[in-house]
Amino acid sequence: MILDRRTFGKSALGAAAGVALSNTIASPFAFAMAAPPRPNSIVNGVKIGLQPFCYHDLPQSDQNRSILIQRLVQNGLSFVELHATWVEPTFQLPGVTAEAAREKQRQWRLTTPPSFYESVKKEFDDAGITIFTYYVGFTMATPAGEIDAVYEAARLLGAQGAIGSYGLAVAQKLVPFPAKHNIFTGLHNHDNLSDPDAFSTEETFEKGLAMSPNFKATLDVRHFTAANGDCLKFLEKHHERVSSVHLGDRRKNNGRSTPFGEGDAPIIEILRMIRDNQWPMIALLEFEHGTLRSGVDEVQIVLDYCKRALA
Amino acid sequence: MTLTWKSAVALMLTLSATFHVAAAQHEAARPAERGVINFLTPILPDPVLQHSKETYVLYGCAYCHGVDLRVRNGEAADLLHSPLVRADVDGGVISHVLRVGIPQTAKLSPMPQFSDLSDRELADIARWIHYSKGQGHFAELMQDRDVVVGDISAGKAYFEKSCSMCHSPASIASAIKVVKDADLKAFIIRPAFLQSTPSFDVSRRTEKAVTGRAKHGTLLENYTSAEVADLLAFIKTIK
Repeated sequence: MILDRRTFGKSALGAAAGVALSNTIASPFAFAMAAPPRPNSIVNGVKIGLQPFCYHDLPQSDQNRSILIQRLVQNGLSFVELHATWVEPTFQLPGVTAEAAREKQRQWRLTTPPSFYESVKKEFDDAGITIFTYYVGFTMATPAGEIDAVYEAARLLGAQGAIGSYGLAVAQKLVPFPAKHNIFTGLHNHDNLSDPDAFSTEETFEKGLAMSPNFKATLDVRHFTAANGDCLKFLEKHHERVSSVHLGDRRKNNGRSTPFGEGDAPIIEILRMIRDNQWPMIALLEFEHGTLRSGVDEVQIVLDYCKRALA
Repeated sequence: MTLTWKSAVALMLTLSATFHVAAAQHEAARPAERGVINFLTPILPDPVLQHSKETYVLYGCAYCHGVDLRVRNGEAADLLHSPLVRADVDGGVISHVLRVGIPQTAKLSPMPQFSDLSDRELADIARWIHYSKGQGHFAELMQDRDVVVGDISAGKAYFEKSCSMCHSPASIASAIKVVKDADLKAFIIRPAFLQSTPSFDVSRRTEKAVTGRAKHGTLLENYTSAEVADLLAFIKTIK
């Protein structure tokens, strides 16, 4: 029987049910406990987490953080890549210029005490969720002091790394910071092939990784595929420098985002490669395809797709 | 206004940087959001429009550009104020941009291409963008505090240029005689039929009805505050 990637989902439904059931009955006494179930998204040794903007219907703000945590628990996800917008107050308010909002943000980052980040970490800890990475964007204009404060914030949150979307020039500026805070810097690609500064191809990743042993690749398989890159060859060659994959689907040639299994990204193969080689890298679900379902339902569908791939 | 494909692409590339700035400014004006968004509600009475909205959401447009065209991702183009959308009359420009994407860009993430969508799907997306732009622009125009005093002669000139091919001053006067002054602005810029569900009764689908709806839809998207003030000043003289 030959399975294509569309029929794969249906045929493996039973396997998915098995995985879900095994999670539910992990403790024979779970039914008697009042506490909500602890999420566990390690599937056959592969850690699966979420870039939570996948909850497209949940605006990213610190005010929605409690809902985010509830949703992660609901989906059974125990790892998250936390964008700073879930942590920091919103400074861009009506009547406030972008420049003024940015200055307020800078001052907030420089003056916020460690206890604030520790309390945020505790919110996730209490729910059984590990903050794997802290996602913050930097530019060439970001002062070194502010970068230092953000890296310290990442460490206080318990993150193993700080990642963001920027190019080679900004990455060079970040070289001193990960070692100082004992975390890594994650280099994240998009599919911009027209900008030589952008992370988009194997070549640009190699340039970035050569800057520091504390730099690791966050391979976004959607964008790498859209940039006509070969994700499997990249992982074969560079897996020791890959901290995580952003796992989702897109079509080649700057093609659109698609539901899992309808694009050109080899999602199943990537997951199995991680599993079969026992690589420590984490698979972070991240998608931009639209849906008429709720965010929780759509995340569950892609998570179940991954569980079936790993069954 | 009709654009060739080449000129559409040139316009698209020229405006790319402008979009970025506009998007950032637009985003900066957004208040902090709390709670959950439902992209599908309110369910519109017009099933064609509702289907267009769902197509727009389903292909991920809402994720970046916002279902109400209020940018959700700072890098996305601000379609509510986009010159490219303004230049599009029949969906041709929007459909072309969707087919080819915007691969050459200074942004981190290029606008993807949607070349595998059907003509119908592309038309649905364009339809929703235009409808949503009209609604968003209407809200902006209604928020104007009318601090600009309209110029009656400029309003008359606008009327003769843009309205008189379908309406006479007398017909307008007749139509608005029961409309309160406070409601006149909304009555003029968004006539009630624009909010109604189009009929598919062939006896009612006259050319005048179809083109009238289309023309008022285009006007609603593109009125400037000054044009509205001038037009209102003129129309009040014939009420």
